[in-house]
Amino acid sequence: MDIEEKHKNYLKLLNKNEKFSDEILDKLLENCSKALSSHTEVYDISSLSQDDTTEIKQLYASLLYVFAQFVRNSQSSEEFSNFLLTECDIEKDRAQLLEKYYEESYNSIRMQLLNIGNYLPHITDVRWKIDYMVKSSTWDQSEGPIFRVSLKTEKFDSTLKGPKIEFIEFSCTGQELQDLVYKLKDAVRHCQKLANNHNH
Amino acid sequence: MEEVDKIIIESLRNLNCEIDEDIDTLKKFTPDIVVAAISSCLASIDPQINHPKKLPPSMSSRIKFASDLAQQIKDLGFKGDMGYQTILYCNDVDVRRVLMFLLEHLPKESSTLIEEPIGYVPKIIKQIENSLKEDLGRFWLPSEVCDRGFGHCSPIDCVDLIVPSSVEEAALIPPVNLQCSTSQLLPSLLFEGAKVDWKDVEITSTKPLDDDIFVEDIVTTNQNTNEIIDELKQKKDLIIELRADVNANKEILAKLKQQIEEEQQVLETKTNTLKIKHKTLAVLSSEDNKLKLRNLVQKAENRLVELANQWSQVQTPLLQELETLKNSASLEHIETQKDQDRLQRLKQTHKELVADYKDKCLLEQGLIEKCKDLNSKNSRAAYTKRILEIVGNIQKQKKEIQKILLDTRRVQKDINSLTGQVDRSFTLSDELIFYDCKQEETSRRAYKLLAALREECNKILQAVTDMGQAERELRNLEEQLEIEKNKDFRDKLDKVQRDLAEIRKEIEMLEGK
Repeated sequence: MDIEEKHKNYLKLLNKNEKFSDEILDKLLENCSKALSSHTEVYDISSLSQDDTTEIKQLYASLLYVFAQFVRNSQSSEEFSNFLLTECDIEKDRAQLLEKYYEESYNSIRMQLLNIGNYLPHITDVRWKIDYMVKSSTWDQSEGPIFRVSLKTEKFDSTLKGPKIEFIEFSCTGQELQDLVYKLKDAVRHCQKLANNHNH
Repeated sequence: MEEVDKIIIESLRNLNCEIDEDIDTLKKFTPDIVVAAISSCLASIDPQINHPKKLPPSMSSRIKFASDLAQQIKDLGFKGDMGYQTILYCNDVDVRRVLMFLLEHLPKESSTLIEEPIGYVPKIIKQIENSLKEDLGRFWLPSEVCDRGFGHCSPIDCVDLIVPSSVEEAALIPPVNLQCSTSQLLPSLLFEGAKVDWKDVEITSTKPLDDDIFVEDIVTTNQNTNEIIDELKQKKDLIIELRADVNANKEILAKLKQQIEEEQQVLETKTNTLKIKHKTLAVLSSEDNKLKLRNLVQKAENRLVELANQWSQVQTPLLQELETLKNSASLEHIETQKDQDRLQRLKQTHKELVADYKDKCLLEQGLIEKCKDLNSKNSRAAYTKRILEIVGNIQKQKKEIQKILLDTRRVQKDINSLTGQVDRSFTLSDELIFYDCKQEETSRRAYKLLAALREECNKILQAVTDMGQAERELRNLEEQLEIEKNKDFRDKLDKVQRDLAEIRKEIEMLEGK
């Protein structure tokens, strides 16, 4: 993972104590963790500094970038503070403050990162019934049991900008249902095997 | 055996088993210490076993506890005699055997090291395995309960974020998080420039929708937005160009201003010189003034000659003084040079000495470490030395035994030849006398006596061998007695009887209840 020189330079602004007091930095970091967790921000960045807002905006952008990039690479908070200390030459207490916020917001940023990308619809529930066809207009023989399955799924909808519930419906015979169940069990077993592997 | 005991006690102390400093052989072990030693060994062989390190106070539970321990030692594969009596009524031989067995079964330190995966991919795999394991152990939760479930997963949707680089820009450009929606923030930060127009892709890929108007609508708005964006981009480019123009013009202006200032300065100096020249010309125009000036010049020349004379008078003694002073200064200079040389030499030697000192210090440290190493290795060396000595002793003893064996064989041979001689001489004399006894009465008596003599002799020989055997048996018995005495069975018997009485008392108490 490489952090661009541009961001490193912006991060070095942290060492300007007279410009960024502890109070301002605290607000900045809180805003940062809130923004990355898709919450509304607490403070207005532009009002934190009276005269020149260039540096504060630069620093804020780089803080957001570095937090996101480190969580994306699943780096521990030690590695994060190590990067700040060695590559950006940031003072120790400032780095510790950043590390604290990083640790606090790590899981929520991770959750947000999970939400980027195309996924298959997510099954949240299932409805089913068993039919038995005694006779129909086209088929004289009885048939059954037939399993009618309706999978309730959630999927992101670009027009709604949010989750939309859809139903995937199908019917199958006992044999086919058995096949499906075996496949699912296979998948579960595979996961369990992977999980147990690491003990040995 | 003392060496073995020392090794055993040392290893037990390493297992955090508390053994008093003054106990140096297994003979001094009490049942309490034996229990503590065995349970700490068992605990380190199998961390799941956790025994108390003290005997319980009640006699019956003591026996139960001791038999439990004995059973576990047997389970580990101990072949010798093992029961509660070995622990409660211990003697040093059995305890030594048990403890040696347990210490041999201690887990090796190297096996406890866990392999850490190295490299990016193995680490990721390990993380996946760990999180899978965690997730499998978790309860299932409905997606409504989860904070932002899978339904919020959206395709990458980025915008170009602009970071201001100057004061003017900063006044116009809002902070990065306000340049996009909250859901766009993360992708825009991380995937800079990876802009994909997902709307177009989706429209072309999905099957034809029923309402074409809707599609057209989207397409037109798309085009509109695209046009607006293009327009904005052009305007932005224009602004940047204009700004560059303004900057260039400003520079030219500054240069021109500077040039004007320089030229004004030149003008001022020239007007000044012009004024002076003007005045002098006015003065020189009259004859009187010229005469006065000539006189003045003459006077000044005279004055100059006078002053030169005076100066030469003053100068000569001063020059001489300077000469002498210079001489003395050069002398002093030479001396200081010498002193400096000496100083430099002293400094050099000082430096050398300091370097020497440092070398020695390093050497000393190295030696001290080596000494420590030697001390730590000392016990091992001592053990090997001891073992070699013991082997030498055994070989010496073997030789002696061989010698004694040879001796006994020789004696045996002597005895055999002597008995053969005796037999032969008896048969010879028997034959001689038997031959004579047909003729003489005395010979017959002599034959009888000979037979009696033979019988008695045989008896004596038998008695001698019997005595030898008895003596050997006696010695054996004495040895056995010694061994038994060492085991001090009397004390142990007393102790067993006391314990028995206690158990009886406990049983009575229980019955009474």
